[in-house]
Order: sequence, then structure tokens, then C-alpha cells
Amino acid sequence: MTWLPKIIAFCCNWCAYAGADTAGLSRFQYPPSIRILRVMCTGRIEPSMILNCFEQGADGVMVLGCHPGDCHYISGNESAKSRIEMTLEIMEILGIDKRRLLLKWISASEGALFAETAKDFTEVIRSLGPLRGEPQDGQR
Amino acid sequence: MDKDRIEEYGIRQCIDCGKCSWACPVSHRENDFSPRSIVENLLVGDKKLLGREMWDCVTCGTCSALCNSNVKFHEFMRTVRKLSVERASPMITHGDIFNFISLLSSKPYLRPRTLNWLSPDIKVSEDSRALLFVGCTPYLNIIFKNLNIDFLQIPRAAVKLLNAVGIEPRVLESERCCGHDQYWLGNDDLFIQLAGLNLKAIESSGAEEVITFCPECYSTLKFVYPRFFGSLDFEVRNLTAMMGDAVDSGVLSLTEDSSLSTTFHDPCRLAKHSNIIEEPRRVLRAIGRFFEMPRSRHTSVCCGVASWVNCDSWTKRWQLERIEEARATGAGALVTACPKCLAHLSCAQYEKNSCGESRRFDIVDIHVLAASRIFSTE
Ligand code: SF4
Ligand code: SF4
Ligand code: SF4
Repeated sequence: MTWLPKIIAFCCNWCAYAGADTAGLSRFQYPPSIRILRVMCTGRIEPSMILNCFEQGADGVMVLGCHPGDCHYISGNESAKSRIEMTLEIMEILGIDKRRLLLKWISASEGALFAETAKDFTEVIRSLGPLRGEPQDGQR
Repeated sequence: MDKDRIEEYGIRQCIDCGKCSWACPVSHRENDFSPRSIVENLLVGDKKLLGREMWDCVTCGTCSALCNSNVKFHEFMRTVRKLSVERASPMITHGDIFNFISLLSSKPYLRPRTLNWLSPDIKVSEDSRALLFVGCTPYLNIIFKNLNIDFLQIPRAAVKLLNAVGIEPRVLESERCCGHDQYWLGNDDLFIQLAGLNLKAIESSGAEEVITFCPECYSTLKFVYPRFFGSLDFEVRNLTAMMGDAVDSGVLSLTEDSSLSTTFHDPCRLAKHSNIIEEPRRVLRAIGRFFEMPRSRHTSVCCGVASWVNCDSWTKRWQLERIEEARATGAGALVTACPKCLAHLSCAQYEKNSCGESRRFDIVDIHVLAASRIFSTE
């Protein structure tokens, strides 16, 4: 069996979460490695929440929100963007590969994009291997 | 709380003089917080500590520095926290980011890369007997971008100063948090994990002395590590103290600037935990006029937030008062020797509504200031 990474996807309620829903309704397949956490806005996500995921055993984290200009709370996604940038810098010093964190804008109608993003990101994380070092089942 | 723990910090020696409560910066602001009455209640009334009381203390050590019965109240507070972690939690700042940095720092499967501050104008060496321990300053530089302070200037200045006295220090490629905050939060398990990894890295580097510019790293490595791991194979030295001595003995010459005037904010971990008091003043006197604040040395106040606990409007007011105190001495700049004090004190000024642009006061790090005044004959 190939190793399945653990990936947390923070999805904003108004766009990405609905996007994931659309993906489901349209029966687009995406890997079971993704665990969705719904937040009202990506602006709510703090760097510590992302680091917490890594600490608790996530191999990758996605933050998915509304396209710029479409934020339900006007500019929450903009503050998410700057916080993600900060988190990436912290990850770099901590020795966590920056490719393990992805920020992407996905609207409610973009079910296909959601599924595609989940697939692509899973592949990236699969190629990086588990954060905890030891690849399980000898897979990398 | 069990009896042995009470004895350990000399609580029973309390003679009820009240000096601790007189000096405690928290007692000044909160009428119902007093180290003396906490001691008294525990000894006489067998009262339990309230969760809040235990986190109100900033563990600055002022009470212990002044106590004539050698009661180690701040250490006692730490132990209370350690034994009570399950029962009450502190009010944490910055979404607990610093805790997660410590936690992830403690993972043997991660290799932090903490050398992003090196620059070509400073000399480090791979086989020096002295090692510069950098601590969490590179993280501060990211988290406090909004303050517009280049925190990475501090480690660079540290190397510059060391170069000026003939030391080319080595640096660890991968350094982990020193564990200071975890120790004072009473989180011994994480502290031991971090300290163990750091000790292993230092010992396998073969360095004979570890130099720190951060007073927290200094007091932790110097005094706390041996408490858990026994005596260390290397010396621990504080850079501010080294520079004070080097200025005194003439090994380090700094150019004086008559237009420069400073006052010094004693970081708790430097003055009260480590008793390094005169050395920073020697450095500052060598470069310009020096003014003393009324609350200085052993009765200096804390910058307001220790171990990232309890930052609120009340703390900010405390910090702004400190800045006003510095300004009132007539000095042109408030100097500190701790990167976290620099962050906290600058933060209070950052908010425009409490401190308009014209009311801002210069707050600078002593190493950066001293490095800019290194006398060179070139
Ligand atoms: S200063 Fe020391 S002896 Fe005096 S009240 Fe405080 S703890 Fe007791
Ligand atoms: S350590 Fe500082 S804050 Fe805590 S009781 Fe003593 S003087 Fe007060
Ligand atoms: S004073 Fe500023 S830097 Fe310090 S904990 Fe509070 S918000 Fe953070």
C-alpha cells in the first residue's frame, strides 16, 4: 500500500468549503488524504493554527479561500495571505519544507479546481514524504 | 502544594517584612496581588492559590533580589505553575505561536535552519572554542515585522563585537529554542527535551564556551541547564557582560559621541536573575552620556510580558509608563539588552493612538548600539 499523507485543508465557509461541496456533488474524485476544517474566513487562521497541525502530525496544510475581491468579509483573505507568508518564513527556519503549506483561492463553483488542487497537493506531499521522517511502508 | 516544595524555595524563612510586595511591579498595579500575602496565606491559612494569581507574576525576580531572607519567590511561582498546569491556563499572546515554535523546535526529526542572519562583513569560524548561541531572535524578526525593527542586526552586531575583541565565534547550523519560556511556564517535559537537544549539539560541536547576547538564553543555559543535567562541559557567558569588561580593561575601544545620551532598561533575566548590572552601564558610559532611571538595577521593572503571557491594555500602559520614565531622564534613547524587551517596549509605542509619531522614543539594543561605535583605525 502506498503511504497516504495526512493533509489538513482549512476551507473558508463561503467559497472553498462550498467548492469542496461542489466537487462532491459533481462526483469529482479527490484523495482521502484531505481532512477539511471549515472556518468562517481564512482571515481567522493564525500561523499558530498551521504550526499546530504540523505538530499534531499533519504532513501538509492547505488554506483555501475566496478569490481576492470576493471575500465575504471584504479583506479576510488578504490578511490570510500575509499570515501565510509569515508562516512560510517561520517554517523555513524550523526546517519544515515550505512546499508543505499551500494557499489557494477556490470559489464555490470551482469544484473541479478543488479536486484538482487536492490531487496535486497530495502528490507534492507524497513526493516529500512524511514530515516525521520515517516513511511508512517503505514508501517515499 | 506539598510541604517539600514550600521548603525548597525558603518560603518558611519569610519574616513578613513586605519588601517583596513593595518592589513587585505587579503589586503596584493590582491591589490584590502581593507575594508576601501569598506566602503568608500558604503558610498560615493553608489557602490555595487562585489560577490568576499564579499567572499574574511576571517571574521577574525583583522580590527575590530584595528579600533579606533569601526567599526564591519567583522560582516558587514557577513550581506552582508546574504542579498546576492541568488546573489553570495562562492568558497567552500571539495565538500561542511561540509555544508551537518551541514544540516544533523540540522534534528530533526536524532540522531547524537558524543561520539566515549571517552576512559577509562578519567573521565566524568552524573551529573556534567559543560558540555564539542565537536563540529565538530570527523568529522575532518574522513575527514582529510590523515593528520595523531589524532584529537580525542583533546577532550580526554580536559577531561584530566578538570580532572586535579577537573572537571569531562558531555558530550552530541547526539551533533549537533554549527552552526559557517553557521552563517558566512550568512545562518541564518540553524544557528537558529542548535543553537535551541543545546540549547534545553544543557538546558534539566541541565548543568550550557558549556566548549568548540574549539574557534569557544566558540565564537558562547558565543556571537552569545544570539544575536538570548537572554541571556542563562548557562555560556560559553573556555578551553584554563580556563587553562591559572588555571596555573596562581596554580590550574593546568604542568611540564616544557627545551628542549621544542613553538610559538603560535592565532586563529581568540579566539584572535580577544573573546579577549583571554594572557591565551594560560601562558600555553605555563609554559611548555617550548616561542617565539612570528611578527604577533601575535591582528595582528595575519588567518589560511587562514574560513567556508570552498576560499582554493586555494594562501591560501596554505599564510599558508606556516605562518609556515616559526613560524620556524624563533627559536621555535620547532607551537601551535594552534583551531582544524580547526590545519587542515589547517597541510594541507599546507602535500603536498610534497611544503614542503619536512625535511621541515615539528611540528604543535600541545595546549590542547594535555598541557595534556601531567600535573604534577602528582603518
Ligand atoms: S521580602 Fe522575603 S522575607 Fe520579606 S515578606 Fe517578602 S518573601 Fe518574606
Ligand atoms: S517575580 Fe516579579 S512579578 Fe513575580 S512576585 Fe516577584 S516581583 Fe512580583
Ligand atoms: S507587548 Fe506586544 S510584543 Fe509583547 S506580547 Fe504584547 S503584543 Fe506581543
